[in-house]
Amino acid sequence: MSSHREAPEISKDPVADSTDLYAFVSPDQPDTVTLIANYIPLEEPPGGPNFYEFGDDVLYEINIDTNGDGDADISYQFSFTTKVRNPDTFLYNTAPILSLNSASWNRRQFYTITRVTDAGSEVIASDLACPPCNIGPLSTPHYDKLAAEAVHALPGGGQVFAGQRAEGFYVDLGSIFDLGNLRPFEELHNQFGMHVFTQPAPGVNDTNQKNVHSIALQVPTSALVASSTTPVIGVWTAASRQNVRLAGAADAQRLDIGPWTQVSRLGNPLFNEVIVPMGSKDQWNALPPSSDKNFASHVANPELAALLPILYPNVFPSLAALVASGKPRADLEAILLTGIPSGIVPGFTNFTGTVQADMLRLNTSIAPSSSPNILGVIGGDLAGFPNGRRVFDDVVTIELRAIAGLTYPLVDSSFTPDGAASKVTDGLTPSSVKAPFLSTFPYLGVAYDGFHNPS
Amino acid sequence: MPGNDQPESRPGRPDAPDGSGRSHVSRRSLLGAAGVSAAGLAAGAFGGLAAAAPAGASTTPAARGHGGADLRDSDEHVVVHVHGGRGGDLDVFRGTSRTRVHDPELAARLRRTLR
Repeated sequence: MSSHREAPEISKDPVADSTDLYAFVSPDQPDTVTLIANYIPLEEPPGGPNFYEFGDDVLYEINIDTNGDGDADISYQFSFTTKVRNPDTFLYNTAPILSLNSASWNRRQFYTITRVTDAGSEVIASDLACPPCNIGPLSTPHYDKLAAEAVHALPGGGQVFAGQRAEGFYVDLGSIFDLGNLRPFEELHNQFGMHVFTQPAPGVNDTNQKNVHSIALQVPTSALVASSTTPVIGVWTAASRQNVRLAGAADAQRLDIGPWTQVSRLGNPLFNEVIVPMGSKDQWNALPPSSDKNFASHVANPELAALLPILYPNVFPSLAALVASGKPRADLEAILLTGIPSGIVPGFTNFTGTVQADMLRLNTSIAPSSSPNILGVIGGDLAGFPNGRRVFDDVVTIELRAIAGLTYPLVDSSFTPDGAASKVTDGLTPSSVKAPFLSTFPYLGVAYDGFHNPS
Repeated sequence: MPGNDQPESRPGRPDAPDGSGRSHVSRRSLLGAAGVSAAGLAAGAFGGLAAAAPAGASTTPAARGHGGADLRDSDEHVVVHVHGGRGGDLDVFRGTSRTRVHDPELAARLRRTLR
């Protein structure tokens, strides 16, 4: 998955588990940038009576690097507080929830946003209401309205939303994690000699009809860039917990004490999931991007690039030769760790310097595309991934193709990719997502309700 | 003599990794040690800490701007983590701060309390 349950420790701590990060110039407000950090993987919409919520004991952050050193120059911190109206009922709601201040909604959540820079910190908004989870036609009969009410204007421009949304990341988990058996090409898989599959099959979106919790922030571009002449920003999200937790400290409540310590991080999709090896994943989650030179060898020689020619015999001979040569994958290092320098892709750069750091790099001077291509830059659309990431970008296919060698000619013009490198995919598109993406903030679809989903 | 070796984290942000990037105190070890430390907080031991801290302890500051019910509650509690081995390092947690104390005698007293 993009970063859902991607490391052993964080997979046991879903409220702090970052799942996806998006950063793009807002298509309907092009003088702003939208940043979306998703948490809590694979929410089943009927998951009551204790429906999903952010952790009051988690500090969520969206971090921005404006000078390419891999450290945060601007952080937006989000802290949540849950309020229970009536502790003597087991119910989340006792009647339909018709507004965010509905007396029948028993368990509400509010949040504070703090903007932190080297100059200090400033609370920019507080006591902002989250929407309820989407329960069903009796409990949340006008959920679109409730979700819209939870979009709050920010002082100084921009807007924010924090709460449940439809999962927009589409991926065929069942096939990928079954030894890389991509359904559209399963007849070409070595199948470990079992000869189970003889025909290609369409992909299955395993995250369809599931929800996530999104922190969506739209702010003026001028608030994120160091200057108009340095339009590229690096973005990542992080979640932190306090050092010490005492279970059952008083009245069976947990007690959290000590400084905040990072337990989850996400920049580029699939980085920790696919690039970082098992033994280092938890460590990676605790570190800032400025430490990523320690993981650069896994980018330069990705394990998956070596596996593809083995799993799909005779399909990737050029990739096999490239792997055997031991040449570092400078294309992947540029895409994931430094940004793409100017002169590589005509009219494009999101280079932030030589510091190797996994960040989602967005060149804010590139206007939104009027006809987006879900393959982003490799599809000729400079406003898409890896120039930031839009909610509908097909990052699984983009990264599969990049790892398969499609982008290596950017750094070695003598290399001819395998034909399969431009075709490999898990077979999904945005139409694989039941809840449509929105054309306005917060862009992710309205959360699925638990009465009708799954269906 | 009490001393300290804990660098301060960057103000306003979660605890910065020290050195090459890892905290001295892992999350798992702290979770395991928390119960032991709480049990060792006898009145006499706390008095030792109070004496030790001003002599050279350093405090990792709280993340500014963050608040909430848990934070307010935790201000009323103190947790001490006595590091493994015989080095005499202790971390004292209160609110959103951590204070590193080097006091072999106090560490030994706390360990004796648990026997």
